[in-house]
Amino acid sequence: MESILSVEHLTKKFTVVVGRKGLGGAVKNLFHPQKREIVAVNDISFSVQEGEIVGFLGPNGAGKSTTIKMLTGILTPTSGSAVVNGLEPYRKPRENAQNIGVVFGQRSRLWWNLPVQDSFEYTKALYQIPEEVFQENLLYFSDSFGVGDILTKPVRTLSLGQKMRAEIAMAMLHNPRILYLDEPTIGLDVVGKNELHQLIQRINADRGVTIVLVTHDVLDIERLCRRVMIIDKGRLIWRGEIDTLRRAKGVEKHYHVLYESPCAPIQSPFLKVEAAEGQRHHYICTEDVPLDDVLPLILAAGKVVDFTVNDPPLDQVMRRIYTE
Amino acid sequence: MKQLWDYLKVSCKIELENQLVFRSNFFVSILSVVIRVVMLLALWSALYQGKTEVDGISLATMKCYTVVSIVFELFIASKVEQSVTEKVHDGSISMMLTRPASYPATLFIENLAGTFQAVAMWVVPYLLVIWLCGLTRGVELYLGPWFWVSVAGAYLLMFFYQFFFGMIAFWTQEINGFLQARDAVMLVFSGSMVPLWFFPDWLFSAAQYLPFQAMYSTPLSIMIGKIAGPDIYAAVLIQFGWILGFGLLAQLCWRKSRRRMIVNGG
Repeated sequence: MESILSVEHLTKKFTVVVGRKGLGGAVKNLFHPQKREIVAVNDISFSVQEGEIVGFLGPNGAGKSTTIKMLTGILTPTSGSAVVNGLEPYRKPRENAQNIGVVFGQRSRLWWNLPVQDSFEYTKALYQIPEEVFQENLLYFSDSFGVGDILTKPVRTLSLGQKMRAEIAMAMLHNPRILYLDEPTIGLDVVGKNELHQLIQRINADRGVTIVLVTHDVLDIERLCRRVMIIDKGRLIWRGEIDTLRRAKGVEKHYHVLYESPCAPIQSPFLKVEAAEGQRHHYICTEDVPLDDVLPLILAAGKVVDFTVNDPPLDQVMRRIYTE
Repeated sequence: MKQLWDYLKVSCKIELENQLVFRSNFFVSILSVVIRVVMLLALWSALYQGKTEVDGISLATMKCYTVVSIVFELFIASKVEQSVTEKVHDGSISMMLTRPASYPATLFIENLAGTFQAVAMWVVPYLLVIWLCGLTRGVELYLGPWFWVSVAGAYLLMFFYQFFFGMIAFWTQEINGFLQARDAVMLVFSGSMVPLWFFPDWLFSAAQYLPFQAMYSTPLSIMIGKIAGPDIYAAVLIQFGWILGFGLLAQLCWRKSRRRMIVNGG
């Protein structure tokens, strides 16, 4: 596998004007602005393989979006380099634009008052998409994702989920090799998120397009990505497979037990009682104890109707990483 | 080139459609122009107080200047500065910079599309009405090639002027107060409201050193014959001097801001 995107020692510093307080401060600011340097992205290196979906995770203000803006050619790095598809995007932003698709969940590219198809026509002209490619893609998205039903509707009448589907379809019209999705599921309900996850998985499988998914929603990551990069305060603090992450950062397992009749909670040094009211018990095991040792304890307490073991929730793992 | 041509076609279509979405808005806009025209005509009639000529300009010519200047404003109006500052302000400028086309070029195309919409929906119908109402009767109009050159000059100047101030938004982020003051100066010194030749001498010469008269006054004055003969060449030369100035400044700002840009919002 070849890497389609490689980033080395990428750094971005901003000089910002620090506001003083009050009216006097505002006047002072006019003449002698106080400046401060902020390091938004600090010496980040990574690479992405062609065809994979990679997650970019981090709390708000961590530097995710700044990194993506350098990869899409919007911002120029202060130092370091990024090579996307053989190009440095900030040096050749126009050429780079033909290779990438970009969807920002919080900003729309669609014409608000006009039917979706007008925005598609607009994209076609701007990207100089050949007629047959355009029709083929239109057919693909109409058949597979119900985009056809909304083509003639004005954008302002669409639901958030429909709008995001249209946005993604539009970003794919010129057959980009990389698709950047910045918070695509923001504001969506469970059903909408689920539909969008399916859409993203399918275009990745059908088109072989590499997807860089920026999000702070761990559900997106869990459902879509095998590999994840975690950024906090401008630094890349973790990268690798999600399973490895879970094992490395959170050994705790959750046991949910449903007993036939109410019984007393289990007393054990390695089982913490989270809830034990009536028939439903919930235990957390914080040590690396084999199931072989736990199971007899659970079975001894009463007649078991149902039993599940859960991995540590990813958001808990994330919280632990951020606080460390 | 083909890309920009295709882009122009689709932009014109979208501009027209966008305008026609809200019909009531369309009709109210017509009304507002009619009210302005009627008011200004009444004003000039009153100011002339029965005289047929003031400063060598007849009442008929003055009325013609007034109505044409209102239509000319519609023609030359540009949303470039507003569009850039808004996008810088809310951060959606980032979307413009991930497109496979130069941003200044697409801005110019969008400007042309806006003008196309204005000409089709406002300028042509209004000019017809002006002509049918007999407002051009008894007025000698010059509509030769130099008039059209000066119209094109005014149009380009307006674009580069707006483009330049739009680029300033990249640097300062907040220049509303300054822009309002500038627009007030522009209203007076462009000659769109009161023709410049009615100004006291010192104000008239001050106007000559500002770019605003080249946007409105020059083509209108050439049209009604107030600027004629060799003066035309000088006036057009001044226009293109301003175009060059603002064009270079805008390009410089664009290059610089592209490098040290900060994008607002996530």
